[in-house]
Amino acid sequence: MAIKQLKTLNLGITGLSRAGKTVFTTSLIHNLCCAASYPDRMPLLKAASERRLLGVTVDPPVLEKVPIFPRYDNYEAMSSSPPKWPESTEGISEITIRIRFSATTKAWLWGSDTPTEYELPIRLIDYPGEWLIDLPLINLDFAEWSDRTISAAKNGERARFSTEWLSYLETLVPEAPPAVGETKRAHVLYCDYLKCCREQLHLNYLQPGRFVNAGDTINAPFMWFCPLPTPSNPIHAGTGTLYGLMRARYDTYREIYAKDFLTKNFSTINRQIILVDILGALSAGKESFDDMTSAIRDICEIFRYDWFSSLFSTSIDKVLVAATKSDHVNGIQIDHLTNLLQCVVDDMPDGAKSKTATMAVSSVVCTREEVRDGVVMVVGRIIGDQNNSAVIIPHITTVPPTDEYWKKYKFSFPRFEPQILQSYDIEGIRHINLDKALEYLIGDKLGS
Amino acid sequence: MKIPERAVVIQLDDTSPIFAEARRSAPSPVPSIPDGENETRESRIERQSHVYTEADHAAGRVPANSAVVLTLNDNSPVVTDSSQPTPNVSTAPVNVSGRGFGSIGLFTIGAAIIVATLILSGIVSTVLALGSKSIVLGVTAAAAVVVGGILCIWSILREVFCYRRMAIMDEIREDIAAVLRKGGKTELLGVLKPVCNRLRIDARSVLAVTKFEREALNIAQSADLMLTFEQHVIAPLDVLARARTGEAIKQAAILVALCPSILVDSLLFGLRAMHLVRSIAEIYGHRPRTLGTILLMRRLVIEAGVIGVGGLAIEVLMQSVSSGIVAFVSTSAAEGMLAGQRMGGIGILTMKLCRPLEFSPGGAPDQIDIIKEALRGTV
Repeated sequence: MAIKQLKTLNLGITGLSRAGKTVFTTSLIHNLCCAASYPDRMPLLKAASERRLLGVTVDPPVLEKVPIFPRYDNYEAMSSSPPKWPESTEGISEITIRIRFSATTKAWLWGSDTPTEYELPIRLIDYPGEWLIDLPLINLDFAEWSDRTISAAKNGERARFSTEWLSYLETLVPEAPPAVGETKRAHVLYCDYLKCCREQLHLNYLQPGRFVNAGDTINAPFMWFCPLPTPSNPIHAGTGTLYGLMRARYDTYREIYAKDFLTKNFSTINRQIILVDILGALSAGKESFDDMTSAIRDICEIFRYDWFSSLFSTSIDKVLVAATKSDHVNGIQIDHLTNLLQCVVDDMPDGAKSKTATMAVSSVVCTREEVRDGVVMVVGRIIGDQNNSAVIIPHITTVPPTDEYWKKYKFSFPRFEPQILQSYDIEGIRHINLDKALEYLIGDKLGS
Repeated sequence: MKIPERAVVIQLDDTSPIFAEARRSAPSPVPSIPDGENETRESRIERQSHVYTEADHAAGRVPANSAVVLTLNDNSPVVTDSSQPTPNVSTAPVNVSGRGFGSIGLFTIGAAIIVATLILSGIVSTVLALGSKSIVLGVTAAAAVVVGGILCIWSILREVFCYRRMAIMDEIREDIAAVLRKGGKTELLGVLKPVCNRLRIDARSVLAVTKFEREALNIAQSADLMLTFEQHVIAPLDVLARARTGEAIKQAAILVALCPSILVDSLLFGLRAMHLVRSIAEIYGHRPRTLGTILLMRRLVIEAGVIGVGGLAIEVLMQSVSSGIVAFVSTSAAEGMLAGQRMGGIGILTMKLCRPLEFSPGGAPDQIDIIKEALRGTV
């Protein structure tokens, strides 16, 4: 029987920092490869459940200009002894898998339906979520961005880490010509502030994204900029002044990394999944949770609106926002996690082309549920521990917590190490809702 | 006290244990009837019922065995909109005493005990009389009575067991609904396990159940689990039940069309309907014996208003739309079609009663579709 080739589907996988993009992509590829021989691992993917999945292969590297996603290294890290999580996504990478499946072709007028074999190539594009945060910069000029960033740096928990940078800014004169090393020093202090916000406060809405996760970015002079207070008389802050130089560099960055680079990638992506570590944000506190919420909303709003599609000539018609690490909570709380994420995504005006869905997933299940003395607990190996621990998971609200709720309760969700994976287990990796996510993203292309 | 528009009010009498509990734990004493006033139905409901608020619920003042808990908050338009007139409250009395034997059941059991005692005393006296004539005869008669008695008891126990199996399915359905509202996957699996055990009837259903049990290990959320169970385990049974109903429709239509006597018509229709009810019940894991079939038929008769209304609607439709065709076709054929349609209604109703899960809204099979499927094989 001749195999019909379908058009390549480009699936973008991104997420905020430490959301689990690498593990997700590794688990997705491995489980798809095993789904043909062990379909029970993916019951919610209809093509697998209906036994129509014939085989999945991964294209070997040939002449790609973009690094190949290191799936073998990642799997080996999780199947080593002791197992550990793979390294985080630092730059863009991609990999192409081919799914062969059968579907019934409906007879047009008469005759019987005929089963036909198809092959669907899927190009998985993995890129850091920090770079996605740069997209809103497209609509912000330097003055607006500076005012917004400096204002945020002076408030809340961020103020603890922005002192040195803001103090240095006060010594600068924006209307004067820039002195040697001034811009670089300001840039370095600003980068240190951003990194502290990420490491200490677990914040995500940190712009520009490449200051936090440089990837393959060249550390050229055009990158040495940071927000500056708007001068009282902008006429005196033109070319040749410090302010003018910073503004020019900001515009160059926007042109190269926000517009040009992302245009190239987003113009090809058809479906997008955005991974979010809600549990981590809840554990980090109110500011981190609000920061994550703002980031997700701005990102989703970008995908929802027509102007984005017209700007990038893209046809992203499905977006899935997924809360990761849902194996860290027990049964019914997974529904709560989904509801909470839905509230975050829902609270924005109706968009246009993109359809956005939410769900809770876990790429690699590293815990199990147990009932002890009538109390449901999650059992797993906490990071740094040798033995398993049983943890009572706090109640997750189904709506974003209010200020009173933050004052009353403190969330604390532990982090777990992976369980040892069998070396190239043909039954696939235990997961939660990975098949459901795939069914939403590519199910229609697989004849469902 | 104004009774909110969305309130569900239970009309209780003073002897109801739930009302007594509610009265003991109510935060305020229940007002009594003012002297000289006749109590209206609405005022009695108002006096006897109690509307609990969020604060009562949070403070734990709502009795644990309350049949209804109203949740009102300050933002509820029902509470704040005092300009709305008090609506007419109409309620139906609710049997809050739980499951158990009704008065008819108790009467039947009592009557059966009396009859059994009379028969037993007659048998014993007969055996003794025979024994007094001849020991061999007496022993033979006693042995026959013992064997007959064992067979009777076994038969009765089997009937009761099968009846209980069918009654348990109602409880399972309620449990599934309750678990879907509140519980997680583990609770749902616990409730579905006996259903899965029941549905291992033949090779095909065993395969479907085994497949579901393997897949359930990899499904995390109860809603997805329920969907998978319905699609992989129940849906094939629905297809079988629809096919049986289709066969019964065709046979009923032909039998009624060909049979010249109304009495024979009714008898054949009734027997065929009983056969259909039993076969559908077996498909869904029941083992209906006589008692179980009687239970099912009883429930079908109670719901028969649906069939009657549906039948009337179809009759009117046939008359208005196809009067020319009906006039052309003989009366017997028209009666046969009507009998077929009614048999279809019986089949669908039996599916609803026997199915382990309630049909989702709009998921129940359509009579017209089943009739079309039945005719597709014939024409």
